[in-house]
Amino acid sequence: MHILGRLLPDNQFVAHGLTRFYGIGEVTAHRICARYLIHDRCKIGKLTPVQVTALTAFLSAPSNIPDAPWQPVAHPLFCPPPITEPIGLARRFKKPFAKKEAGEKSTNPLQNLRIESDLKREIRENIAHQRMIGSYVGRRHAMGLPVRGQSTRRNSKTAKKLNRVERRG
Amino acid sequence: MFSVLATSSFRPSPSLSLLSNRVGKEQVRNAVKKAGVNRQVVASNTKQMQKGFRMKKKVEPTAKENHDGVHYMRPMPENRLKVDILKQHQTVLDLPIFRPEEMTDMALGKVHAFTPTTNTIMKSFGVPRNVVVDFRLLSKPSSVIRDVTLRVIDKLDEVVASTSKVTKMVFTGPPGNGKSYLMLQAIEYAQSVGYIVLYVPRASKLVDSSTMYTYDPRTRTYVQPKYSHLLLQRLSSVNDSSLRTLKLSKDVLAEDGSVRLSVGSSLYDLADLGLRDPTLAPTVLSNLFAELAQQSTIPVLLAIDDIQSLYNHTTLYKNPMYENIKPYHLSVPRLLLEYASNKKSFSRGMVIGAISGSNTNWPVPPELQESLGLTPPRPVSVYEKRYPEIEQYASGLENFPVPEQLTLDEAAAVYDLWRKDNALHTQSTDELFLSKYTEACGNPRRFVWEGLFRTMTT
Repeated sequence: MHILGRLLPDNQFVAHGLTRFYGIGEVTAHRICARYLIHDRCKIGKLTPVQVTALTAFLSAPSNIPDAPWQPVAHPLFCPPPITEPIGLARRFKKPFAKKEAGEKSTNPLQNLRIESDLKREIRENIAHQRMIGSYVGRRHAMGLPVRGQSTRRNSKTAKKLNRVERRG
Repeated sequence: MFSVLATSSFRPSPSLSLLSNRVGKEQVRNAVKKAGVNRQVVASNTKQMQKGFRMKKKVEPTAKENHDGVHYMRPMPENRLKVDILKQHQTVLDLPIFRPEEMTDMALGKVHAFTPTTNTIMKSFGVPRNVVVDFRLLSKPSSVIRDVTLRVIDKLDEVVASTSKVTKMVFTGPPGNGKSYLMLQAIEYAQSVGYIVLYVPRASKLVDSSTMYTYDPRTRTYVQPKYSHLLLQRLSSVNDSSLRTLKLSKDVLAEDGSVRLSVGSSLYDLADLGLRDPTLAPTVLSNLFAELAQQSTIPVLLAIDDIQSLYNHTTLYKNPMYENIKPYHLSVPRLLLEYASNKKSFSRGMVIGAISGSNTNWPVPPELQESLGLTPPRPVSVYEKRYPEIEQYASGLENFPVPEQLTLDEAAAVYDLWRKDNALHTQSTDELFLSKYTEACGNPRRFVWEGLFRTMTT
């Protein structure tokens, strides 16, 4: 099945298949599945069209998706109303991921999620900023050497391979 | 000019495999016409020969990739047993069939095969994992009649005799002592005397995030539509005739107030409503339970294996806030917990549960241990948190301890059953029997699996 232009195998679990996207690891994938009520053993081929649409909409713009709706749960003594009675609005609206101050980012991890090209751009911008201000970190990226104080006497092969100002990701 | 017999006059063209790597198109077309084979197959073969190593070969998924991840323990199929030495050992066990009238002290220590009706029930509802492995090895699903079997049968008879007796008990004991088998024996007896049987063989499947779930704002729970539909299917197929005789006590209404089913329709019609529309399955299932609870014509047996998984304070399901969902916030576990506790009861029926020690992901929680009066495996601190909601659901349960050991007669019957089914890899002697019985301390599973199956030489 294709989600956001990427082919995900139908027989994989959804929580694992979502990790194919750059920027989504196991924890974030499970959070996304929980957000859309996809159980752990659900396979990608078994997703309903509604779920696929919701996942695609989320992954294309995670910051634009509103927070999860509050779903009040029944205490043990709760008796459900008859089916003919319309369901009223919840009297108390709970905002679990309430913004602390105006302008501050939401604490919902999925709200701040960046994937694919947005994430790569952010990484490139961070490195470019370090270079622009002339910091040690920026210089080390430019030289293609380890940034975080590792020894270069023997091992630094990964840094020499990957570190640069225009880092691919 | 071509005729029907034209092919006989042609010189047989060489097969494609004898041709050189460079194959002409004319030769290909002739080969296809002559052989009359699937053009696409021939074409792809020739193309591969023409292109050779340059052509990307179609990679078919291997058997390992096709595997669905579930390892089925099956014995070798009969058509592969071609060697004589294997053929000689094929036996058909001639075991007495379970009969309710024979369930007296005379039947103690004797092996009985399950009836075809019970086999159908077990195929519909399923059985626990350890039992399904045994049944795949045995030529006929069977069990030994123990003293506890007769006591459970007595309790079932008491419920049949009275019109308002309700019993809720949980089989307890160490792992491998025969709780699941005892439950199957209870189901067999119950269906033979006319109970409506509802069996949930693996309750842990309800709480381990393996089935679809959606939020229902009316009941304020997370309903499990696929499992509800499956349970309705099994329930209606097994108890078909009983459900058709029972009638609805009140109208079943739709959301707009119209009557879907009127008073006087059978309960089978109600179940059928949920089967035809899977989105209605959770509501229909709870309505069906309510109808079965209020009627006292036919007693109802609700059997739940692995019941301790429903009493753990969280499940593996998560809500959109990424918080663990509690078992009583899921529709089917909530329904089972309510009918197993003091909150709701069948007017005439029995609820039996069995604790399973096989799955260590779902231990017996302290609330259930205290309710059943069980000794905890390690000292419990006074600061250990207890959940009042779980305590409420665990109240009203009666402990029914299943003996840890088989008696010698019962063990001898089990030994004889597996011996006749050619499970032993060595000579059958009294010393083998007694030594394995002693090593297993009489525990049925250890006696069979670690004693008899793992013995290569005496």
